[in-house]
Amino acid sequence: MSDDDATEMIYEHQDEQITLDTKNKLENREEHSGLEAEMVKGEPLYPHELTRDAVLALYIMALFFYLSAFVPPPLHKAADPTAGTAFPPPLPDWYLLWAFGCLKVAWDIKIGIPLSMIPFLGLEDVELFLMTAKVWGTLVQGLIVGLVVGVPFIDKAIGALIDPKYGDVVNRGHERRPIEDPVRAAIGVYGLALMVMLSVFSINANIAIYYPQINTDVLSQLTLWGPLSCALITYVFLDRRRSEGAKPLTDEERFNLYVDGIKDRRMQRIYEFKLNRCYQCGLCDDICPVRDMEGEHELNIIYNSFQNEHDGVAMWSCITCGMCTAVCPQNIEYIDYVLEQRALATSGASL
Amino acid sequence: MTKVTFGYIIRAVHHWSAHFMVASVFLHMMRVYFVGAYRNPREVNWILGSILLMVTIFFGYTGYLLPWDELGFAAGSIGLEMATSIPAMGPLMAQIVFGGTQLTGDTITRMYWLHIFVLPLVGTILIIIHMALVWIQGEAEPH
Repeated sequence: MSDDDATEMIYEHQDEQITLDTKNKLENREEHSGLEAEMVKGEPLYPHELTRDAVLALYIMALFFYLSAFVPPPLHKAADPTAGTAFPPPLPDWYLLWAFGCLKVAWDIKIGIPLSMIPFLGLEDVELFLMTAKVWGTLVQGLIVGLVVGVPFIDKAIGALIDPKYGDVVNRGHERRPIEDPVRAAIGVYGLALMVMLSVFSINANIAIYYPQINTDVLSQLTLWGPLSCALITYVFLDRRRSEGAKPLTDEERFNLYVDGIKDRRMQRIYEFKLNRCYQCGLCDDICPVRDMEGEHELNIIYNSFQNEHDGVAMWSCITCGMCTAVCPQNIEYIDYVLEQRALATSGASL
Repeated sequence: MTKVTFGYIIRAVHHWSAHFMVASVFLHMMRVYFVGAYRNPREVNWILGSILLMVTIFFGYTGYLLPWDELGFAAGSIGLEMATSIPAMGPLMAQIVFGGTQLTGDTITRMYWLHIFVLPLVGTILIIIHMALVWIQGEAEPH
């Protein structure tokens, strides 16, 4: 058996153990503790989330007052309907510049029969319909809004086009990172870049005052090709990142990947048991019966585990009574963590 | 407008919070798009969210039109032109939103009514549904 196979086997074994453990944990959750079952998802609304939101709200209010004091909003001149259009024209707020840009990039479209193209007859063009820039620009805005509203359905259609199996069952409610779905990310980047470029295009008169060389031609080329190239770069970049995993690895790379994998998984587990929420209030240590028996600082189980110093003693002296979880203000599932560590240790993995 | 005691601070906070509101709605929407959080069964919430984006933008529009200064007047002219340019429905929409096909005193009244009554009502109802759906569908579950 080669080293590769051995590594593979260890890796698979660990995977199995973790899956099994997670399954057990989920299955026995109800009887493990009714209280815990209620705390499966997220944090309690009161006081955790309310406190956090209140603090955030106060912080943002402070920011508003700070900005108001130091950057007061401008007062414009009084309106004068007889004055005609000012130059440069007054601009809308930044979030409406894209709509302004839609109106500006549009041009009059004449739809008719070009009879004057026929030689020798000397006929006049027949004009059927004139689509003015105004109408056209407004329609483009409606189209953009429609595309935004229709995103879930467009996503489904594109997904079905790329992969017929792509459907509700596989993707039901699952969030996916952009790297796993480069096409969607590229489309999103295209949309964003187009909004930005339309906004930039809409202030062309103001740009021309300071940079005369950036004229309307340059801007329209940028508006046309800029978003496309952004989307292409996003796609190529994400697709390459995605396929990097498929490259053959050297032994050293594989070893590093293996070690990193263990570290990552460990961090992920710690996150899952909410260990990272500990702010060291010490309630768990105060109530821990093992520590009571052993004396003040002899066997500080939880502290030692957090310091990654469990040499086995801390891990194996826990009697899993659950008092620590009961008093913990952060609902850290300490026993589950200890149990998992024990399971992993007995299955031969050294974590 | 500049003479009321502490009026300047109320105006400035109103101004800045409006900008932050629109920015946060945009950022929220971007995040939802890029993590694919609009997929089944959350399409309805995405559509509600897009409508809320429109409501927010319209809030901003009526808000900076209301001072009826140079900028507000220009914005009003553009909005009116856009409304009237819509085929068939145009004049009716101009009548409803701007109070006529010309910019008059009626326009300000309409904008005020939209800004302080219609949009807050629609916005609040939609936000309640938006949040309730998050709760009911169980993406995030407060206790």
